[in-house]
Amino acid sequence: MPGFILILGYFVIAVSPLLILLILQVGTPNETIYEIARSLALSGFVILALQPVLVARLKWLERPFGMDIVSRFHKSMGIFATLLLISHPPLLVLGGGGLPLLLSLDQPWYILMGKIGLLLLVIHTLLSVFSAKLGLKFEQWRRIHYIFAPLIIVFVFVHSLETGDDLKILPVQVLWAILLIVSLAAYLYHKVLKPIYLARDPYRVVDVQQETPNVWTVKLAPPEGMTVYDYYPGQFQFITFHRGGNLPVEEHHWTISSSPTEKGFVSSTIKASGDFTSTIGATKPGDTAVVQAPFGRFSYVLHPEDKDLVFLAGGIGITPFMSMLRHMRDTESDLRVVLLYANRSEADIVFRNELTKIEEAERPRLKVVHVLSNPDSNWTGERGYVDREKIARSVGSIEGKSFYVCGPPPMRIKLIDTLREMGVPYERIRTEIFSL
Amino acid sequence: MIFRKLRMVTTILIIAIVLSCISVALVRKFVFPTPSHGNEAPAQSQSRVALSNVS
Repeated sequence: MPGFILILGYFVIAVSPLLILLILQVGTPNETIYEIARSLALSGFVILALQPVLVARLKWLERPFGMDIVSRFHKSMGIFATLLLISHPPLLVLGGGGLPLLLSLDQPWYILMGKIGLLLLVIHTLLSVFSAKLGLKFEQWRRIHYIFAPLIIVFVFVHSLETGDDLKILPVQVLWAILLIVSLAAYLYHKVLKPIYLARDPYRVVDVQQETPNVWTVKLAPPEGMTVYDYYPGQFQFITFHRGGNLPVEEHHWTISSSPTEKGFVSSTIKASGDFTSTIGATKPGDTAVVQAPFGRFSYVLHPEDKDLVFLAGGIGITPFMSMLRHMRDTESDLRVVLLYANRSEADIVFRNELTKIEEAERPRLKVVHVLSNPDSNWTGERGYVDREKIARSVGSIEGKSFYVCGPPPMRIKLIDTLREMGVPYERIRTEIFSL
Repeated sequence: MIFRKLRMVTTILIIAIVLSCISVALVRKFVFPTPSHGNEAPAQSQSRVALSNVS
């Protein structure tokens, strides 16, 4: 229900300038297409101004949906706002605005400001949509994104305020001022105020454990006199490590692999797979870490109706499941859980011994099935990939079972398709898109 | 699954916003009285003036 109210609220705000014009019964002598162009631009600006709010990591906004959903919504609405604003100049021309509006640079400063804002917005959106194809690293893209975003909003704001007839109406002016303030406040909160606040009480690295040749568990303790934040097993945290030397200081998000039942620390298990994570093994006890958490909704405790669970994990995608299984172990849960855990080889299996112990203790009633794609010749377990046959063989009937999927994107997409082919209803498939 | 719902909700939202923009433009053009000289609405065409300057 809160989710529905938020979506409805978003829609009302997106069309709020139009509602004001309707309530005040403001007519227009302009051509219809010209008027449509202006309406699209008004809504386009509102959507643009709301963008920083969506990604400000506000708990009340993230809680009903999960951060991955909010991030994807942010991306979709960013593209939509760009299309609305791109359509604005050509529709004005079609509506009688004159071709020079589109082509000429010999125009008042506020028209040029709109053009520059639109150009920046198009570049901004293209960089976001095609960042991977352009070979942009995440950190590079993020820096560009955070520099462009406020510039675009200010340029478009000034353009609309100076150019638009409708912006001469006091209630619309008030709305515009509120939107600008809210937008920039969300940006400042997210990029400046919150990081300063969190940096006052950093967590401490108390242990770094190598799990496999390229996977480490980093254990963090809260600041002196404080306790670890409350979280659900399966959620994730943002961490900025401060490790001295030439080691990079970047914020990244990792799933929490510890359970909230384990007091005094919180841990993340991290695979060395990128420029930054390849340095994770250099993290030492005594280093500090700024932590912002918890986020995400990938947790069995949020679905108390699930009694018969199937966890499908690929590689480092085991971490949320480990957190959940540790939580089940510590709360002596009698839930039935089947874990199909895919890896390349035996050496890549993280938490193997602990999984065996939990399985033997029968709390929860866990069955672990390891699936290796490139095993040694003496491997007697499942070979290949997690597929329909292996799921059916390990799980039996799908009736009444809930499926949790976490792993690399191709595996996740393939498994969801497989589950759908097997007849598992969408409502029984739970997953999280981890790349925000 | 929630991602399917997200796609659906986003699509509905986008269609609703575009339709609202078009509807409001039509209502303003054909239903509401056009501002006349001497009794202008607060939004008399400044942008028109600006645009005619650049045309």
